[in-house]
Amino acid sequence: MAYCVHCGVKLGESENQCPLCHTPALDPHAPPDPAAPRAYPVRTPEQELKRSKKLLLFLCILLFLVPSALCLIIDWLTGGGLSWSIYPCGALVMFFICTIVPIYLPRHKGYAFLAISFITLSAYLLMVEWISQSGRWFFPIVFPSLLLAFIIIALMTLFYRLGRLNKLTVLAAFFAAVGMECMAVELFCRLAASLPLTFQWAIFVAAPCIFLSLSLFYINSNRAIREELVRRLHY
Amino acid sequence: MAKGKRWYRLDNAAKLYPAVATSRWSSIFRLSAELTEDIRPDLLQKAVDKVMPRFPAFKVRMRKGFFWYYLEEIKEPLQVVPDSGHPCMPFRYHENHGYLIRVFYYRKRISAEFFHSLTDGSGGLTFIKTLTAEYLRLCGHQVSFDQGALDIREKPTPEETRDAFMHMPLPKVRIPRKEGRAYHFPATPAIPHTLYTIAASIPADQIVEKAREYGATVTEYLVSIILYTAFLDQEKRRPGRKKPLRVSVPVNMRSFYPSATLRNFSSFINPCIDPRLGDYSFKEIIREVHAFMRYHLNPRLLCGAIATNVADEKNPVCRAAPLFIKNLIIGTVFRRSGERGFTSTLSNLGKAHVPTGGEKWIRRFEMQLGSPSLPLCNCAAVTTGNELRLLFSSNILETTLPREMLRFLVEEGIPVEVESNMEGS
Repeated sequence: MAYCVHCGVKLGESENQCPLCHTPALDPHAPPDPAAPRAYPVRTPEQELKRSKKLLLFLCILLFLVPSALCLIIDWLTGGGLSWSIYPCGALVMFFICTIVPIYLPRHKGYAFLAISFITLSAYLLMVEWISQSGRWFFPIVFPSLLLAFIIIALMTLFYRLGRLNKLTVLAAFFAAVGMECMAVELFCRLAASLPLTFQWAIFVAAPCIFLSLSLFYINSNRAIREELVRRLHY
Repeated sequence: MAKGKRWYRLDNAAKLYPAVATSRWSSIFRLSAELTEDIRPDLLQKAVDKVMPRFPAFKVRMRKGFFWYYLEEIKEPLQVVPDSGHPCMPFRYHENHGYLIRVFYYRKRISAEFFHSLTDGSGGLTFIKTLTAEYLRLCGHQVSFDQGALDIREKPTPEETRDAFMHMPLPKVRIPRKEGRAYHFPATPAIPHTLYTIAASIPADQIVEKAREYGATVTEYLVSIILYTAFLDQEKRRPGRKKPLRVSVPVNMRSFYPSATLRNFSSFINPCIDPRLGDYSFKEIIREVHAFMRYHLNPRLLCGAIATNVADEKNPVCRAAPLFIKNLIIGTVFRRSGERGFTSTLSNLGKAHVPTGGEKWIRRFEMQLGSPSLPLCNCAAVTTGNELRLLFSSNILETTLPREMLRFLVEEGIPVEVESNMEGS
């Protein structure tokens, strides 16, 4: 039986380290026996999580399978083949991947989740382009727009995790990102259509977004205004 | 309600707990008896089967009425189960026939967990003593049903299932109870459903003697150590934005109004110091805590606090509100105040006498408070023989409170032995 050299407490026979300061138990005459039974059952982290994961997995599969099967059956019975049902089924596959993957990803693997979501969404839209035979719009317009959106989200996540953004600046960055994304989408559209590179509709969305964003950044930097807003809007 | 099943109204204190319970948290506590021999599950199951009819107020499930929850009798038997590493998990009303009590065994320990709507620490201790006495009798030992253990051959009395709050001489006055927020130790929340346990064994005679040196009781001494630990921690971490330090101490109302009820019959007092007013030495803290406890531990003030709660319950508007509205309001009030007003909780059950004949087989009783609703560390103490068993329960990764508190005791010359359920220790 050892004493903790930091805390001075006597450690129970089953303690390999001090539970108060995590200093290893040092007793050269009686080294701790890892197989010795513990005074209290030690928690098994997987136990509760596994149960909840199983339930969630079951629910997701149910949410995926039932509507998919219904769509396929109705499409087959009404049209004698598969036509429109591929779209909702593809969307459900995308939903399934986007809900299941985060459950099995370790905590704080947000970037991996973003990458998987991007790939899934791109694959779905590429499939829609291919099946619908509605011309080439994925690679010239959708892919760069999606890529830009995901890069913006990843950058915002990075800055938020680094502690550079608070709630107000996240909102400001969000509005700025919406404005930029709209302008980028219009540019990609005009490039795809070989039109002159000017802004028409995007400017009407981007202008108020950027105005809002700048206002929020200004409010965030001005303590007096910030406190006045908190005072008036607190709940 | 099924025909022929008895039902009980929730007592005044019990009404709070189902309203604030969620799938992640509910108010639970655990009482355990550690024996000198390994537990035999078959005999423990027999003991539970024999003991449960003696405690009709515990053989119940939670039901929703239109205006209030109520407790309904359960006919099915309660199953004992091996203990897991997840103490005081929230009760789910549809599991285990709806029982709001669980009985576990682990090596030499019998444990019972109670949803707080059923009973308080005193009622729980009566149950665990009775269960342990019956178990030891089934093992062939001569153990009496005394020293707080109920005789299972006798029939339960109406007094035992009575709502004792309704039979108190309550004043008409309502005492304001707003106390504001208190300092909490900075904490990293553990993953949900984790409750870390650190158990400390302390020689009771030495801690009593040390408390007497300060002119205080053991509870006052322990509360003072918590406040002093929090005071030093706040000085170190947040010297610029100090908050009051407050410890919630449950009070057994049976000490003031003798009652045989096994249901809730307790109140709280909250000894407090305010570091915004200046610095404190440990001696000053213990003097303040002693004065606070002497002043507040009187039946008039305790009744006044209970009268405020009962007045809320009897308010015609409140009574007429449907249950979901009540739940919404109570839940909101609890989340906004509740445990935010306390730095920690210390529940001292005092001396737990072992049933006659059981001294050889029962090593100790211990009590554990369930997971706090906020990232906190609470503690509970029970004295058996010459051992005070102090159990810290926390849902946080840091061990600041138990570490500093037990180090303080060691520095005071009191030997401490610790055990835990923490991984790797």
